[in-house]
Amino acid sequence: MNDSNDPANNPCWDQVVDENAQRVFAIAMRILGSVHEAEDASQEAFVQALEFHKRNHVESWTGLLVRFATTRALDQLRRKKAHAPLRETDKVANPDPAQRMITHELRNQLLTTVVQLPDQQASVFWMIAIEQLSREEVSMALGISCEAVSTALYKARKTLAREMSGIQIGGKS
Amino acid sequence: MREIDTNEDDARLNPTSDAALETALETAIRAIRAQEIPTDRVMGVRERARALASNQPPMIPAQVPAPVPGHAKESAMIGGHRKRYRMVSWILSLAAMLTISIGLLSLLAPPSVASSFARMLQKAKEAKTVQGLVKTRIGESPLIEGKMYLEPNKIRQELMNGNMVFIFDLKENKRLFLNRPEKVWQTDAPEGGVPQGLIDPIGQLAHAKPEGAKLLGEEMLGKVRTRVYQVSPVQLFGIKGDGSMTVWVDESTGLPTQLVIKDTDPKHESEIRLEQLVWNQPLDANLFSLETPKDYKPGQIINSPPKPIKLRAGTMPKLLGDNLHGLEFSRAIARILWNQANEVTVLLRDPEKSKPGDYQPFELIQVDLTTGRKIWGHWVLGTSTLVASPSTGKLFTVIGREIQVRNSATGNTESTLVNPSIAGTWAVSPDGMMLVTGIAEWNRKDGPQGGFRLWDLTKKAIVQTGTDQMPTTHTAFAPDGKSFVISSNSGPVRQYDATSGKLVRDFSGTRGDFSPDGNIIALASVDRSLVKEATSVDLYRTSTGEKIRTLTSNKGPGPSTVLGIAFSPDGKRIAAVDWNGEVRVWDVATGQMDPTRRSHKGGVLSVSFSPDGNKIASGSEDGTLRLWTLGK
Repeated sequence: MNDSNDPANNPCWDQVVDENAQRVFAIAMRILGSVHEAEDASQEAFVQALEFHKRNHVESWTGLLVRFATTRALDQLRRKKAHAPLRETDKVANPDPAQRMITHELRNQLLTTVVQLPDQQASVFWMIAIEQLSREEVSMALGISCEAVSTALYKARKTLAREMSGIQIGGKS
Repeated sequence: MREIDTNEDDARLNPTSDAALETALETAIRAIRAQEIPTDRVMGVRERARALASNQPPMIPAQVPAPVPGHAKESAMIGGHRKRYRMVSWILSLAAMLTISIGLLSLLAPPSVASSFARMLQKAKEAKTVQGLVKTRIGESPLIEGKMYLEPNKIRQELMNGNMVFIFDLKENKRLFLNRPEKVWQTDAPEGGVPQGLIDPIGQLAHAKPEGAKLLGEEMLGKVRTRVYQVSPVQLFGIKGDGSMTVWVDESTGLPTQLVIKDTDPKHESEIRLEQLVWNQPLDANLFSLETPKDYKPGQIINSPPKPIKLRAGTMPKLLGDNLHGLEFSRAIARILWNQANEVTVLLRDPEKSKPGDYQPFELIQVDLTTGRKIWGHWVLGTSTLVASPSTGKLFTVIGREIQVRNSATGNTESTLVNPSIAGTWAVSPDGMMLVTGIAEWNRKDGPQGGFRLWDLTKKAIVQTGTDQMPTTHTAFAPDGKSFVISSNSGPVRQYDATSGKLVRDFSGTRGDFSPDGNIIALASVDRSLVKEATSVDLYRTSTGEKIRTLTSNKGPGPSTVLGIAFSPDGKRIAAVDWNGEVRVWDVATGQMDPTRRSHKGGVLSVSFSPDGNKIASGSEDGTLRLWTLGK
């Protein structure tokens, strides 16, 4: 019953970091699109997880870190949007300029809409649609019921689909 | 553990097949998922995160028995690492203290500032080479650090840990960019030549006039004794800013060892620092070679040359149609203050839908509502909140950490205060004497932080501070000036005593505002379990903390996010606006919602009652400010 007696559920910090660094960074990178900001957001997520650990029992480090990485990065994006436009990514991934432009445009559009969603919906959408976590994993990470995850996802998708339905992709209407 | 409900409804709510998604959304999701993650950076993330445990206080104090064995094991492990790091940080702090004590700034009155500065300029102009560290920050963007090498007409910068190399030859008007990790090169010949000021801050020094130099004093930089000069104004990025340049001149060599160019102009708030400058050391000619490396392939590294922000002409409002039902702006109306009978002050920003490259700073505009005439307008960067103090006729805006106190008749800045951190939200007391700023920080060491700082505006000093775990997103002063509330995104709203700074009471909700008599506090509800698409506002009695009632609206098209709440001046009515585009009005005494539909084509960001209470102005993402006349 008490899983926390199992040493595997309470690994040392270095192990927690090693197992989750890639995922945390990937989440932040996808949301923020900038290596430097993603590095900062990742660090913030780890800081927050440590803080959380001081006060609470951590059931799933991965869940906790995914949650903090998502919320931190979205927060950062929201704050950034109040001051400055989204920046081009630091690194160029796709060599085809037309494809890159479309990708970039869609990415910006989706992010613009995601940051307007309520916190929980934005996190749920990101974790499921982009990071492809299962609903159970998300429910663990956010501490909400599976049903609430489903509802939040539905609402988020509805809003996003509505907001994005007007966009033209690559000149086709 | 949890029962997973997979009934029909659930399946309908969660379409798993891609076909169920809208095409654009689906493509966007795929695009984001396809984005390459630079895995070479994960190592750095990992190292920084690992080091965290060592900087932290013990996770569980040693003498307190750990609740579960697993925890104890972990905390002991981390404690072991900590000792080592604490030693290092102790040595570092000692070194820092030594530097500070040696480097005490002493003001001297030199015989001739101009002549000694002129000698330095002459030496700098004759320099054969310069090298050093360059650190650039523009607006809110992250700091860009790197190395810089200069020869006459040639510049090389190595940024991002040397991964990105930029070589400029001013004479040949050619630039070479190298992406080292990916082995990609790109060259171009910028139209009209490279603006020298953009890439050669040392060149700026040569343009400085010795007569304008001011000696600030002496300072020890490491082991180097320097004289600190200030030159103002300077050219930055080819634009004349109102900033200044500070130069640290090594007394032994007579040449600058450090240079800081700052520009506080909201149009291009920026800072360039050059540090540890070394002069006239021979440099390898290959550093400036424009030849493309053989094992590299051509590609795109930079998308567009950095351009200074070109400001459009200021926004001119137009009357909506031929009647007096509002104004059309070309930009979203983030805030409205209806401070005089026929005049409103609005804060404009670009709508979320505008192209990222087209973003312009915020605009603060005073408009005559009857004629649509713009009375005055100012560009303001970095402010998303605007507050007024009717008793003193002042307006307050923020650029970064600087709070500007403006004259509401002209919009001109009369004085400024510097907050210890970026002030995102603030409120001013009714007598105009106190200002409360919300804390919203994500500090690397301490994690998220909220709270407040209370300013005494007459003393221009912070008199109280309070900290909280949740970042503060909204602040409001009670009409009697004796207390204020701070709100966070997930609640609760906390009321504090303005004299003692002590917590008075918590209210459950996310955005608290007081009624004009101060007896009621209105909050955006957090409990949205009933109808998430409806706007819902809770009213609480300020003195007892008891809930009076919940005001709710009919369902909107999407989940409702309340963005603004306003009481009428007589306190009898309350208006709330949300992202669904609706303006809702209720009778405070009965809780009845005014059935008249008042809506915008985009989310509503701001709302304000007219001074006589008979009208409402609402500002929207769709660029319109609408006026609504209220019935009796």
